[in-house]
Amino acid sequence: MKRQAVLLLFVFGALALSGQNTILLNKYLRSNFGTDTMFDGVSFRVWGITNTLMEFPKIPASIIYCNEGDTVILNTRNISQGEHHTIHLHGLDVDTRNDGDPATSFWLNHMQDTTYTFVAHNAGTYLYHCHVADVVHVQMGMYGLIVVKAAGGAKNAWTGGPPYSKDYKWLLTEVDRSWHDTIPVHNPNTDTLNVPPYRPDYFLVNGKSGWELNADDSIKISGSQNEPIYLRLGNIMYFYNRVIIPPQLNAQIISSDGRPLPNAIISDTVEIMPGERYGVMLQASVQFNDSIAIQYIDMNTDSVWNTQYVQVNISGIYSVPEIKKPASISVFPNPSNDFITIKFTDKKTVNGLFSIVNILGENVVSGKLTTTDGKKTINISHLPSGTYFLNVQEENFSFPAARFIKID
Amino acid sequence: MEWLQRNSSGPIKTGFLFISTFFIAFLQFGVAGIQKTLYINRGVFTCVNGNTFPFLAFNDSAVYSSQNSVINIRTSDTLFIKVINNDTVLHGFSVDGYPSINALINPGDSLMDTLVPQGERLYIFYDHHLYPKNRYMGLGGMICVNNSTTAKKYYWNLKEHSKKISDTLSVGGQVNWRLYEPDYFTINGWSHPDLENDTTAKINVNLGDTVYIFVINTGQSAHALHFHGFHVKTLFSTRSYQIGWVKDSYPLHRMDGVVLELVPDKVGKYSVHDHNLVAVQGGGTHPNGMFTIMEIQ
Repeated sequence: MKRQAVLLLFVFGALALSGQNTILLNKYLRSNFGTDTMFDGVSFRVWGITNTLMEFPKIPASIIYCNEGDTVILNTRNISQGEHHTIHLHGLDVDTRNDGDPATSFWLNHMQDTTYTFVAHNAGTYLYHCHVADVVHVQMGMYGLIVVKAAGGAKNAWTGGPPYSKDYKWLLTEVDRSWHDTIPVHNPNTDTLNVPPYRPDYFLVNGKSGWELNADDSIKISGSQNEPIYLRLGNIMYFYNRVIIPPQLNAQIISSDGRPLPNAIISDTVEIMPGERYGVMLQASVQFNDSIAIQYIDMNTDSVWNTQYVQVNISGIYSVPEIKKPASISVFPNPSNDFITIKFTDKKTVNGLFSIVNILGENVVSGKLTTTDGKKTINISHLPSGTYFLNVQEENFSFPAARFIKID
Repeated sequence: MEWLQRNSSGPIKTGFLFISTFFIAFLQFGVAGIQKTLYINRGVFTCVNGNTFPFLAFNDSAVYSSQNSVINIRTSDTLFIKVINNDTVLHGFSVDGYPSINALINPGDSLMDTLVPQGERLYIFYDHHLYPKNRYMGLGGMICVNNSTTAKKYYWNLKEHSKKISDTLSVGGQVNWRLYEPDYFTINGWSHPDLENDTTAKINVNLGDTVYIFVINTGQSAHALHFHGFHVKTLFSTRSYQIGWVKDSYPLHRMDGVVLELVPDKVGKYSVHDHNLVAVQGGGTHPNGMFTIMEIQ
């Protein structure tokens, strides 16, 4: 045990020095409650993956962010009253233990927990989803994106790759409401279920469609002439998509499935099949307003069932901003016996989650973190003495971890 | 092709011509000749749940099998191919990517042709007659051109089936492909769990081995293969812009073909399946579809 602790101390210390973080996140697998409402006001039952117990599942699950080189640990608990679940780390090339495929690994029963761990070796866009009776559990909403940013959180498509000013993340899916109204039943003894015909009636980008797309600043595209904008596209449902981009955006497909393409493809049309991801660099040559069309296409017939439109607004001319040092955190007093104060450099307003990890990698304290003055105090008096790591994550940014020592 | 059709006058005569052509080419050009005979056979496809429907296949003998032939040659080989129509109706034989091979064969007749490969790659041979009917009914296989003597090679012929459509087509009925909704999804004619017994498909290799996977889609639907645990490199694709891509999820429209390289860097068991998860079913039962498990020792 002592040797293990020393080894972990060494590993965590080495990671901290190299700028590679260990990110600990809580994930709850929920299929006992949850509804989602579509653009037309229709609601139906969904399942999902949430960050807290109090959160209602929505489709899709929230995006997991990390940087290339980070180790990400998902503390995962199944609270579903009977359904079995897992998390499959799609495209992250993990070992069998962490793969979340019940055919080769294990599933979680109700109230069971485990950790899924991956090292983010390659910047890019990935997926996570439940792999138990996946045809149903994915359709029910148990999926989300994983965005691995370039090393150090740099705004490059990959470490040393093309820079971008901002990125958009679009996860393209469909919903067949009849599956949500009458959920196909999984037989855990045979690991089988009966698959009904798939005839989707909602066609989504990040769980939204219709007017919602252009009311969401994280979906509709706005930028300036010459501004490099990185569009991350993923598909995790059962149709394929054809994304048709206005030619003024000079789209170049530069990566797929977390790897750079050998040669960029200049094309105003991107096809994405289930499970695939693509990185598309956009750089408008003029100022204009238009929209990107997203077609949802039947895999069997190649017929387009639906087209969604996302607004593009390009106005003004882009000027390269000064390079700012990324925000970081410090902890004081250090060592401490009762309270620590987290100080955010170059950032006053923070709205995210924090976790404190002991030297064994166990999550000992976690919760929401909100501040408007760049500081936050946390009670650590109940913790045993030792070395700890503090992680703070906002929706689209992970602060480099801070190490502190608790003394009695 | 006219010559071939004129001479497609019965198995005995064409057999003699075939062997003669093979030896003449060998003597004249010094090329390594590979002689291959394919039989167009009609039979019954048995699904994972025991359901059956009529099926056609290119086989290595006159005995029907629902697994289409795989032809392996090297870049230095010349393939002398003979196709015997063992069926009672007219069929065609084409090689996608090799336009000069494209002919019709009367019932009981045969054709001969020659393929000189253009580099390491794969070709899809299929029946173009009444397209897509005969290809859909099963007539599609692969010619793999590869020089490696050390790589472990696997062959995946992806195809989906609709029992209703196969039954209809086999009695001369018409189908509306815009309403196509298949209910069986196979690799080499097998679905999970039967697929685990197909040693030509199930990857079972050692850590660090170089594995080549030859994949074709001879069905009507598009398929999207997802590899757990690994990314694979595209050595060849019928969509040439994909060559060199390194991916974990691979798109294959109908009649697409790719050669993928896998070099496993960790041991364990890892699934490969269609990520159109509706295709991981057989007759409505999940996961009895396009799903196999790789074993890395």
